[in-house]
Formats: sequence, C-alpha cells, structure tokens
Amino acid sequence: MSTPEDKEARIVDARMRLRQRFEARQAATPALSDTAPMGTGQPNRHGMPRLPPGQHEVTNWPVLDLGQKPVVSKDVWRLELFGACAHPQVLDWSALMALPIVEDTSDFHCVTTWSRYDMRWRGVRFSDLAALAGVHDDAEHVLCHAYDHYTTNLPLVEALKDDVLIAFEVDGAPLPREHGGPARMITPQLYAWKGAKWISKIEFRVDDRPGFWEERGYSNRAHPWREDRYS
Amino acid sequence: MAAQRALRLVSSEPLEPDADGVPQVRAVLELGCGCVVTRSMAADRVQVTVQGATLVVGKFPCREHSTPS
Repeated sequence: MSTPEDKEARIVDARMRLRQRFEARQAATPALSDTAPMGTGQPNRHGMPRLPPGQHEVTNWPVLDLGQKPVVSKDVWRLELFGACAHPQVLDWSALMALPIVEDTSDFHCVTTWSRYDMRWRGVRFSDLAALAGVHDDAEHVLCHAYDHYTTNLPLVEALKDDVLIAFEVDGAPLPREHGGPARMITPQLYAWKGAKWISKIEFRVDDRPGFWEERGYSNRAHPWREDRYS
Repeated sequence: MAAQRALRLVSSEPLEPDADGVPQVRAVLELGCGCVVTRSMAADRVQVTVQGATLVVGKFPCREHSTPS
C-alpha cells in the first residue's frame, strides 16, 4: 500500500518527466513563439499583442453554452481522469482541493470576438492533474467532457501550460454556475471554447478526436494571435 | 447548417425574461455568411465594447451555409 509520501513523490516525478518531454515544444507554440503575431495593444506577459486580431475588448462577461446550464453541487461534483494514463481515477471536491492550488491573472479570448482582460483565477493546474494520472509517454491529445455533454479537444502540449487551470474561483468569488461552476477549465493561450465549463472528465489520448465545435468546423488549434477560428 | 458569427446588429427589441428571470431580446442579425436572421437570445448577448461598438456574441446556426464564418 502506498503512503501519501509515495504518492507525492510519484506526482513530482511525473511532473518533471512531463516538463522534460514538453518544455521545448511548449516554447515553440504560437502563443509563445510567434515573431510577428497579429493583434493590437501593448505586449501581454508572453510578448503577444494584448488584443488578438478580430477581437473586441469588453468589461463584462457574456454567457455562452449549448443551451443548458447544469446544476452541479460540490457534493456530487466528480472529475474523472482516464484514457492513456497509468493511474485513472475519479476525484471528488475534497480531492481536488487537496492538490496544489494556484492563483493566476490572465486574459480570456472568446472565438465569438470578445476578449476580457485581467481575470483573476484560482484553481488547480491541469499539469498537476496530468501528473497525478501518470499520463502515458505516447499520449499527445486531450479530450475534455462536461456535465452538459459538451466536449472539446486540445493538444496535450497546450493543456500542460502553467496557465491552464481547472478553475473554481474568479475575481475573488466562487465560479458562478452560468460560467461553468463549480469548476471549469481555462486555456488563456487558446480561444476559450477549448476550456470546458462544468468539466466532468479529462481523457488522455494517443490519437486526436474532435470535440463538439471541432466537429462543426471550428479549429483544432484555436490560436488567437493567428485568428485561427475555423478549420 | 453551421454556426456563424454575427457581423452586425440590424435591430433589436426587448422580450419578456425567460423562466430564470434572464432578460431576453429579439434581434435581427447579419451573419458572417451574409444571411440576415431573427433570433431570440439573452439580452447580454448584445455587448457594448470598450471602444463603444455594439457586438452580438454567440454562434448562430444558418440553414443556408455549411461552413462556419
């Protein structure tokens, strides 16, 4: 039987191996490496123009979903990690809260052409969940599932970035239901549809599989500074 | 039928709030594919940007066009 110390050591080891495997490729992704990115405004923290091309800054937060807003209390909320990983498991709310919790302020870029700046998030890094699950060495893709049956896919190299969170607080308050509460994923370096609201499952995959909008003509990559909205 | 973005709000009128009390509007939109459609939606889908422009957010299906825009 493994002790908590064994588990922590295993997660640290897995995190280091993920970092080694993806560090160079991550630095080469468009949101970090484009030398002539499109957009306007002062550089963001990664050197990209603050407002990606075709976007409009707003100060409120529009609500977009598939037409239903599931009611998921923290008592019944579960997050399943499965697929190409050594330790598939189901986390409840207390298990999520037991993981390292981080705060980060990032911009939010919706493919429907609005951007909101400086959103203060609190949550758990996706990379810590990937380390906990022990993602297989041949896994390259992620498919996220949500309580409203929404799905979205993204490359593992993007999902492992430090600002990709399973977020449960925003601007100092619990994440509201209409914005995906109790927990949603955020992907600040991609269009926001890549971050599932009401997230319920994270599937690690060797092969890629398109999600809801990706099957309907939206981009598999979703790079805001390349205005990469449609496939 | 694919989702389109709204290029322009042609007109809008308020409707009764929905069952959750969320204010609604009926909006006439010019979509990215060029079609003009009428849709009912939450009033906060009509946004005013920091620059003062009106923006209708969302993905709006169009029966006439099969690729998104």
